[in-house]
Amino acid sequence: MNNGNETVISVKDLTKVYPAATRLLGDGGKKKLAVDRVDFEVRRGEIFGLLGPNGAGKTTTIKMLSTLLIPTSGKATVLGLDVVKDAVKLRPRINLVSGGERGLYFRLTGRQNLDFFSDMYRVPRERKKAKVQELLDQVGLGDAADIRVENYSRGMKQRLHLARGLVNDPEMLFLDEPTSGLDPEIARETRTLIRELSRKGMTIMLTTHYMFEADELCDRLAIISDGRIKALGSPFSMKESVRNDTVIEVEARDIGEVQRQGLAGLPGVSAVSMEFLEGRQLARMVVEEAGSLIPKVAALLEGRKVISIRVDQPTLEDAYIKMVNGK
Amino acid sequence: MLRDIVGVKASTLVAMRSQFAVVGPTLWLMQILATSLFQMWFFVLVSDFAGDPGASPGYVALGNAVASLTYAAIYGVCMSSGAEKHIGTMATIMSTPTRMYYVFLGKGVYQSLIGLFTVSMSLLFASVFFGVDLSAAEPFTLAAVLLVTCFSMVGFGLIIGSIGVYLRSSMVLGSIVLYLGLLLCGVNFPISYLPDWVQPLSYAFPLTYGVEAVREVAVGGSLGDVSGLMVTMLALGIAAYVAAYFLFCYFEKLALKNGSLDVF
Repeated sequence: MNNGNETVISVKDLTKVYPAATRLLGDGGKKKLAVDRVDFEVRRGEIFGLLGPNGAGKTTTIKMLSTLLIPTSGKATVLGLDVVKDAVKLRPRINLVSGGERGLYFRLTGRQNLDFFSDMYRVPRERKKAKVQELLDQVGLGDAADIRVENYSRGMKQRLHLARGLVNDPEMLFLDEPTSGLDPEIARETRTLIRELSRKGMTIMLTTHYMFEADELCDRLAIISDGRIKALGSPFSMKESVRNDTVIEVEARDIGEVQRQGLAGLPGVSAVSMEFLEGRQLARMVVEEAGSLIPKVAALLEGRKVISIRVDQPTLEDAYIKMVNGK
Repeated sequence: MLRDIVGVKASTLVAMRSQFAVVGPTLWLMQILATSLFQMWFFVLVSDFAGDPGASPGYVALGNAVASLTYAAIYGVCMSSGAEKHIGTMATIMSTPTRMYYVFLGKGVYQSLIGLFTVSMSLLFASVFFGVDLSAAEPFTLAAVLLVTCFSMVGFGLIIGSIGVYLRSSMVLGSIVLYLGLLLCGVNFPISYLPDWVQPLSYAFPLTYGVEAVREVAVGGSLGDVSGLMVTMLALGIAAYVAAYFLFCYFEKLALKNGSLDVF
């Protein structure tokens, strides 16, 4: 829910290079450019998504914005505060929730975890008890509040993470792959919760590598790959970018990376994705015009066990693949 | 600063709750008491075997009883920084307004309680099993010496623990200090046994003063007799807490720069 045009995150030329590890013996590896001169803005009340493959720079970007990583160069402000110089002032007003199971005290109960993090955010004592209970109820952990976290399912831990992220009533919430590894039902519940928070006026920035999730949740999104932003806009505008394209989908039994590269090299093919299913492979090619390409595809795969070749309409995922892997 | 006290208290509570969630109080008690008893026993037998007339079992037992503080004060604090990293809570804490130093101060408070309990039990063992005569010791003076020793050693533990914010773990350093303490601090033999060039290093460790003060109190030394040792220990301790504060700030910044906050 976008409430207006006030900019709450402003990122300019943001770059992060991880230094080589220092070791007593050996060179300790190489420097790694994780985020490369990134620019974008987020408006108040918006759900803004950073979408990209693993290692694209999403988590590094979100860590820099949530003051957990100092950028190598460039500038970023959140709620008008510089993420490096004003980190201490900024922290009480934001919160970060990471996906996965780490970041909680497994030997404490859900309630004790929230108590502790409320203290870390200096939530006044007279408000803390009610606030913790309210959050536990909000994420559906009211009945499991006094059970140790080590006995929680993964979905319950993720909900507790979300509750922890709300202990300080943040104006800005960062979510790093909030549904990663969750079963579909819990992931859907998590998305519902994120939408509810947005409806209440919270600005949310999330990272995900699920296209449908970005499509369902985000007002705007940036597609990031190899540390650079490849596209920025609403999910609708991204879908529009492949409206004039077509997809050729090939289902086969014995094609691999060599064939994928061959297909990607055909003239008129702008991106190829490959999905490895049980005992077969599915290659999707985003192309300008399918008719003239199909014979070339068939020729290239001659001698392979091709099950079907069909023409399809491009989806948002094809748009994403075109932007990330496209020529 | 006052608001950070809430963080210190919360952190103490988490440390305590986590402790008893891993092993129950009985097993935990067995572990710390058995460690100090067997260490004491080991060194007593070694000294007996060495046959030095100056190396009485009581001397070694008393030294080891005081040194048992190291497990909680230094090793315990170091271990907690590694544990925070391992379970991924270090980065989460870092993203809050409470500084990491205060969180570890809370852990230090908890480890102080453990340390004081351990050393009290170790003194009891020393007295019951190894003939250490504490009848001349003034209880208040002994308690004051142990309190100041514990305070100073936790300060040292915080210095070493701070490195764990940046590195994967500070346990390696913690182990080294644990054994350096046994070697340098007059625990099993007088410092004069050490080579001349090593002896000055002994006086950088608060444990050296603690062991010496307890030995004096055991033979009837008053608070006035050990006040010099206590003041030195206190000064070393305060310097350690101040140094730890700045080291935490330094290593936090380094970890934020290198992205090593959640590397374990």
